[in-house]
Amino acid sequence: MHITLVNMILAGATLAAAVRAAGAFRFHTLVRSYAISALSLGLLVVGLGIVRQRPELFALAAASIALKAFIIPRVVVRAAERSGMSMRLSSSLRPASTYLAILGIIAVTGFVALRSPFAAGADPEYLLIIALAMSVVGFAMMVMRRDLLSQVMGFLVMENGIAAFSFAVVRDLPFLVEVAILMTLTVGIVLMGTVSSRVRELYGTENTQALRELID
Amino acid sequence: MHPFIPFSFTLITAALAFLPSKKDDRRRIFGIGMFLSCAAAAGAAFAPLVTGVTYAWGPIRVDRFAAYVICLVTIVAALAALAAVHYLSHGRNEGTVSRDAEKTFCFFFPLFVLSMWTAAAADNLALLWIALESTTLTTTLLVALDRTRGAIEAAWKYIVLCSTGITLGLLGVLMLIHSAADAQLGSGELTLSALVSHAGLLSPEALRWAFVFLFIGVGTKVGFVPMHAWLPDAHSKTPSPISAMLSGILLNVAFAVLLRVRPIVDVALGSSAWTGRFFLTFGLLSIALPTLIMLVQKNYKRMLAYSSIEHMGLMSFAVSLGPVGMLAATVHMAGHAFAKPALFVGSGEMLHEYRSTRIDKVRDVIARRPKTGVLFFAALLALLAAPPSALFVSEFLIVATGMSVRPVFTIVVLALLVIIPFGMMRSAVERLFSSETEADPHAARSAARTERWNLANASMLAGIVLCAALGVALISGPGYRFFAILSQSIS
Repeated sequence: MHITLVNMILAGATLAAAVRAAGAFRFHTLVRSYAISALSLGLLVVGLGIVRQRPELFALAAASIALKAFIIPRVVVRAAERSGMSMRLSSSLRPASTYLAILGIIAVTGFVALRSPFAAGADPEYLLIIALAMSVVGFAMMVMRRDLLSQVMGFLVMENGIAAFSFAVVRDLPFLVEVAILMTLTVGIVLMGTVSSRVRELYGTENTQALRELID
Repeated sequence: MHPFIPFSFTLITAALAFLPSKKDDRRRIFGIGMFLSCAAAAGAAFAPLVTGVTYAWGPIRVDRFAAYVICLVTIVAALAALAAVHYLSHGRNEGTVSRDAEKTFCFFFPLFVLSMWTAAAADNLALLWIALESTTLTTTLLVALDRTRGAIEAAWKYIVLCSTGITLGLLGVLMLIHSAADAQLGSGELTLSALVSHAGLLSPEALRWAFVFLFIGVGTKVGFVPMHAWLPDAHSKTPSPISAMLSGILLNVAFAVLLRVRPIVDVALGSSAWTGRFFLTFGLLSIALPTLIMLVQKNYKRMLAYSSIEHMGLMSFAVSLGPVGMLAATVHMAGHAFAKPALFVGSGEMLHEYRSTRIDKVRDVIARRPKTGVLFFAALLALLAAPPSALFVSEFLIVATGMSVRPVFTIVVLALLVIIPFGMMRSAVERLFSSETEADPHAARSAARTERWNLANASMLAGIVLCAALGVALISGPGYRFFAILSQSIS
């Protein structure tokens, strides 16, 4: 199979798994879907490294896969099991409505992406659509979901979308810059995890609706 | 002076927080370390600020405006560090600050200051974004320091909303980098200064997109309405020296980033009208909503937080008024940076005395804590633009310029500016002068006798004096000329 076709399949898998994560109402399904999405994106970066003849992208892909597809999901699962949190997640929308909303979001984002000034320079073009769609899907997850973990996962999906955007439109971002941005975001995610576990300890729930102490 | 010196002093100060130390040693080390760091930073920024010479070291570039922001960060950090030593010492003696909390405080405070210096001086786009995100990362655990339900809730909202905002800002940064690559600029040209000088080559459409994402992303950090939800929570639940920094300078640092990005878009579009509309819209929203909330606010720290949003709105409105408005905004930055920390530090003293942030629980401050009460009242007058406060000059300039550039909007702003003192003064007068109905008056008098002059009072006094001195310098002439040159250097 030609490498560009493989890349296209991987890009599709990245988005499909992110959509599955957005519609997942069970904790393990959510984390697994996110891990698959991150793994597909990492492999896509390897594919882009081959096409663009940039071997340094392999190292970035390896770090990204290790961190996002294995370490973060594993840490999240362990922390959740230790805290005894509910494996059923909550959202302001039902599953069917969530998928419908997500598909609508993807359609609109794709339409806008193709008319954006970045479409002409994007390489490959489909990655631009997928990147922006993932960013918006992640953002929508953060808005729609009512539990701490899903909101953190929404942030991670959004971050994957932005990483995909950088691969689609910025071809020569220095390797060190990419690594520094990845590390900064990782620290943010670790902090989100730390604060969310303290919220669980103090409030005894992971439902963000309970966070109503500071309302005017 | 090379920026490596203040940067390394700050890192060493942070690292020393983990040294095993006796009862008061950690605070002493923190105080001395912050003093040396601030002195070194002031030394590094002095020449660019006064002479206008620009220094560049790799991804760092200190021009006159960057030096100005660095100086503001340095002054507010020094004032907050003074108050912090008092806060920690009091907290440790009374058992409200644990040893671990003190360690966390002394570790993250210098890193927070370092990240703000970096954001002010970063020329490289990636470093700028990393520094801005670092301001959130270094303060999240400081917001959560008290470990109460309110503090943890505030920390959660803070990190989620600010990180999301800054991540959207990253999209904007990537769009800027894309347009630079499209214009065949090399990877060494991914700097703000290079983009400004090559702005004519960049795609205006791509820059419009980049500016929208940057404005929303960085605007979240500034606290513009409607992206402000995190701000009142974080600013009201944080220990007062950190509130002073968050409110007094962090918002300014983020605002300064928007001011540094704006010329790239303006040059590419050939006019400042398009970006001006953003500043105008978000400015008006950020003045109107907090003003209304302040009228019914029952929590005095949240009232100060909403006041910060309103001041950012006022600066944004000023920027939309053209060159004189820009001058007013740069003056307002300093005035707000000097007056607001004094009010937050004063609020911290009231919280310590009354154990409540509710306005109706705080009474007779003038009798029980006369030094704090008088300083708080003076700082409030400075914030409300009473002469000779620097904010008097900036608000006068905003209204005078606005009447000729955007008269209708300026009348709206003026009406809101009249309402704000009413809300804030009513709350302050209730707290400062209303007598306690149930408490023993003898107890109040004896409490007043025991109030000693402390570092928090010194920090408040320094802020008020700086705000007034700047106002006098502006009114007397030389200060005005300096700020005119400074504001021109931004665009």
